[in-house]
Amino acid sequence: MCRLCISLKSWQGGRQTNLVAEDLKTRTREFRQAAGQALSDERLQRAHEVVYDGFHQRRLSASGATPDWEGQRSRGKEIKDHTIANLDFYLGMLADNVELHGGKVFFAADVNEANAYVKEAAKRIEAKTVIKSKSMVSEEMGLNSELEAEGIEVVETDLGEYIIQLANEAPYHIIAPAVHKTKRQVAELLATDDEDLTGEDAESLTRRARERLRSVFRRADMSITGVNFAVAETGSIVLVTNEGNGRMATTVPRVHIAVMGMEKVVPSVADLGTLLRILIRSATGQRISAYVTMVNGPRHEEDEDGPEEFHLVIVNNGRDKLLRDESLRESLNCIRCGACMNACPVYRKVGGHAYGWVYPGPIGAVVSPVLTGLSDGVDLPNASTLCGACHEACPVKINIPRMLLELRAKAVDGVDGHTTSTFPERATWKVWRWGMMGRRRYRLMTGIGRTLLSPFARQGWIRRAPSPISGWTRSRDFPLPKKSGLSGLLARKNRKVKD
Amino acid sequence: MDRKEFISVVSDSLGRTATPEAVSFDGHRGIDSDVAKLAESARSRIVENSAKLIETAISALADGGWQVHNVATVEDVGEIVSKICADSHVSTAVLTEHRILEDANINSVLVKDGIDVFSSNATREGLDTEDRRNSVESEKQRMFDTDVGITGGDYVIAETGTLVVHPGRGVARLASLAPPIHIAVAHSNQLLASLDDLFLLEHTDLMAGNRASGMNLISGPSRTGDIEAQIVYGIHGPVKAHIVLVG
Repeated sequence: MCRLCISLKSWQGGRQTNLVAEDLKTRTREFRQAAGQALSDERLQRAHEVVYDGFHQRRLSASGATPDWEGQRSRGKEIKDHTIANLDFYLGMLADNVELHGGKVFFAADVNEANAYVKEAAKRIEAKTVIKSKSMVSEEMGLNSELEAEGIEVVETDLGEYIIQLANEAPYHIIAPAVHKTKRQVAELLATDDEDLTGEDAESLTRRARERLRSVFRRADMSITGVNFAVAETGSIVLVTNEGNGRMATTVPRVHIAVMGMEKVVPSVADLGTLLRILIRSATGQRISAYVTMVNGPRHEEDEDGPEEFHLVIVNNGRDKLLRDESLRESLNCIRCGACMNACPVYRKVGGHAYGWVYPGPIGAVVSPVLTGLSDGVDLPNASTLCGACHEACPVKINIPRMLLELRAKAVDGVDGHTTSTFPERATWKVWRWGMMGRRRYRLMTGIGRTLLSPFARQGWIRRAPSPISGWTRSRDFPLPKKSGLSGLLARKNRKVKD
Repeated sequence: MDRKEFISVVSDSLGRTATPEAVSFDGHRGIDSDVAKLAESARSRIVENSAKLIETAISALADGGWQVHNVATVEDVGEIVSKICADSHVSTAVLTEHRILEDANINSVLVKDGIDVFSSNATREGLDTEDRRNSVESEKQRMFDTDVGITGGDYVIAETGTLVVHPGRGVARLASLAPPIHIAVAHSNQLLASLDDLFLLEHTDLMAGNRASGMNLISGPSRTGDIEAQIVYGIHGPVKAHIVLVG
């Protein structure tokens, strides 16, 4: 990351707060501070390494064991490219088919509209207990507190989400939301008033959570789930879970509301084989998750159980900005497996909370700044070494490094009529560019640089330089430009050989 | 937001003034034109390959955490089920409706063992909305208090070790979910090679209007890794999952 650019950045403004739920404040501006905190937490660093490397290795062995893995990735990319390029068509088809089979569809331009619809439905049926099964969009919506404000009990049912709900935090990782919590911390969170569970192991803590959540399932009258894939041709939604909370949520309550980002639609049921295969194997390295649930609408009259009402809320919330920009459109291909995070050397160090919004890691560094405002989130696309591990890991081959570069360029060129670069920065780069355009100029520039810097140097190295190079020397030494460059050295060498 | 307005924002973002009437996808060409043939070949793979598939299936099922019991004939199923129930001190069981469970006489086997058995088929004909709702509610509570759920299935996928169940009359979703033990019984002639075969058949069924309200793919017991990434079985669904594979 270029310290120079960051230390020169002082401008603020242009936030699009309408896209972000009131209570879920965007903290993309605080990236450096939050990253610093994570880096200095030794326990967290050890946990990161174990967990992310575990996921990463399991993905590698699962993909290695899948015949024609590369072909599957290409196929996945082809399906998503096609769908996103015809998103208007497929959204219409999806809505038609959900309605045809007894479901209700609501199109929400932003989180406020989505929240209003869900709250209205909850009020109408006088819901007392709402269960949730992992939905990232509902995190964008800040839905939990919206419903709680109406006096409704909201319970996250994915164990990881339940833990962070008890801790009142945001998910740390999109498929492992509570990876940063130790057993002891979980025990403290699960304990009621005078219980002491701190000696209990993961298994008995899980049993306790099971008992508690089963009583919630028994009384839940409404559920809110996410959507892994929504199938246009049939109006079906597909949910992937290991715990079975997705099944509970699509079975026990009277009303089921599924909330999806508009990019989650796929054309055909016949596409699901490939998509589920690459999603699950990239996410956890399993051949398949314990449960894959397809919902084709509300229960039929003769069914033994299942919800009476099925609603599908399709959310835009700024995604049209990603769609409109052809250089960023590919980010909508994301199927939210988390593989890019587990592969990323930066994410593996700074962790999920540093990114400051719902979507962390490399793909979050593309999506979050665009959805919540690039001027605030400019540190995110810069927090990458551009090593390409995320691109290599992505099951739908999203070229994340390309888009990170794209966003860096946009940040410098200016967003919303403002540029995030300053005059000295632009001037420095102009001079640098001029100096790099010819051998003589280059020699002249290094000569000037050497003259200016030599008072600060000792034995060819600068420990502490004046601003703006102090940004560099704060963390490492800066080499004094050499008297003669490579060409000079070569010329001398050649002369010697001739002699 | 109004649907039209929402979709027109999407069209506009894609740089077009209107949503196209139809789109074609090269990636679907083979599927669209030959869907009947492809489905037929998926079905024929079931018959031709069942012997080969069964080995793959057994290993994938075991990998996914199923306790696999492979028996030669349907007459052998009762004994296995009876033993599983005895080992786990089961006193209540729910049975979904499936031909294979009838052929294996599971109901009478369990009754003979002194287990309180009920069918997941609650007759609700002639009930008004309120009574129907109450009946669904009481069945639901009952499922949570039952020790074992015994179900058939529609397919078993060899690639992934997956039991496929469509909910419907006599097949409660909760029967394979709420009780702490799930016992599934399936026949080797229900084996599919891959996920792709399943979704191809599902595609043909759904497009032909043969539509259940959903479909569940079950690949072993419920599990979580949310506390220090340690895998623990049985968070919301069954703690133990058995599958008796006939043939």
